[in-house]
Amino acid sequence: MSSHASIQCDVVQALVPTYVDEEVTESVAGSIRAHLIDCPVCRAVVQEELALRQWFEPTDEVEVPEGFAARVARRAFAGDEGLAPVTITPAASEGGRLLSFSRGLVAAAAAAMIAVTLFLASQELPSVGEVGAGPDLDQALEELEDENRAREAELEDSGAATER
Amino acid sequence: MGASMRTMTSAESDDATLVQATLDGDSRSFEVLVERYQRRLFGLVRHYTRNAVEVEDIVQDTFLKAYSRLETFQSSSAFYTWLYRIAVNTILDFMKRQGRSPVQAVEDPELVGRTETGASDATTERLSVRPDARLEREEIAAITRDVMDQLPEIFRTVLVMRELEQMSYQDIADVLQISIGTVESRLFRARARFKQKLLQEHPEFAASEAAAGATRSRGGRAAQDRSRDRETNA
Repeated sequence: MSSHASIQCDVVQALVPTYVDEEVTESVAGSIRAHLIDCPVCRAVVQEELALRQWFEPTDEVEVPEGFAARVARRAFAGDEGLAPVTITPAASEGGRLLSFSRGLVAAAAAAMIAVTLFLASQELPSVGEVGAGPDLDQALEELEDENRAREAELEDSGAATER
Repeated sequence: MGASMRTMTSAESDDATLVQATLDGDSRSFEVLVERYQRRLFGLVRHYTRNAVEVEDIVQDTFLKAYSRLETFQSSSAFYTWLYRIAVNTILDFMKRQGRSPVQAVEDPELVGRTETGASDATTERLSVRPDARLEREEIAAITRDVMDQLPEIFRTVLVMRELEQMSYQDIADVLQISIGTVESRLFRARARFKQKLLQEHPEFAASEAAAGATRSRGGRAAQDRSRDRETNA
């Protein structure tokens, strides 16, 4: 690392882009200029920076369509607010995809329930009027009651055993 | 370098008066504001699309949005930096709408020190000092446009503002709402990426070996380190 005019090359080279852009203070620019007089290496870095700038031509004069300003002002005062900004729709995001999937699942479940209901309705099951409330039915209900009680007792016993 | 405590220029004070008159319902004042900045906005937008209809639509949309949000404009800041901010957002919005460069538009500035291949932004190859010695002005502009089109939006925008629109670091910082240190750092990386792409596509513009020898190992490395430090600290 060499030093010319009391400023080191690495410092100068770090400042070259802002120096070329004329964005350093006048005192810093003066120190860099003094350094460059004696330092061919840093001069080459400045040349390289300038070479890059040559690829950018400042904007040419631009043609604006006639009456543009008046047209825009008219539209603005007529309440035209321009196009709404693009927002990422929920469907495009991770959460949105999950939401869409859930909605699809609910819709599929509803469709399946309807299909099952229609299928059962189409079966030849006896109507309420056809089922007589005779002694056979009472007996059957009692048997079912007994079975349920026995099952509940069983479950209570097994629960108590697990707790123990 | 721009000062952080800024005083209002006469043009800015003029703008503030026109803004107030517009808010009071004077459409002619808004027309004057449009006339004042339309050329600059057409110039800015033209760097993103060459389609004249699209350019006009984007500029018009920018002014319409500006009008609809005029009440939010703080007259302590410059009207044109506020307008530019709306323009840049409108441009990026337009590109999203068109499905152009969606990945590039969201590239993380903190991760762009390296390219997708893992190579560093900075190229050690040097550019030929005078491209215009071999090319016409239009040819240079066409090559520059092609290279710029391949850059991430975050880099293209600072290059457009600085190199083509000749905006100061302070104005770029104000428009993009970033620090001056970040502007410097982003510009450094944008230029490095531009040079890298340019030399990839057009190796014929590399400087001759003899000219390149002197500073190949030195130039830029210190600047790159310092620039990264700045962005980290910003």
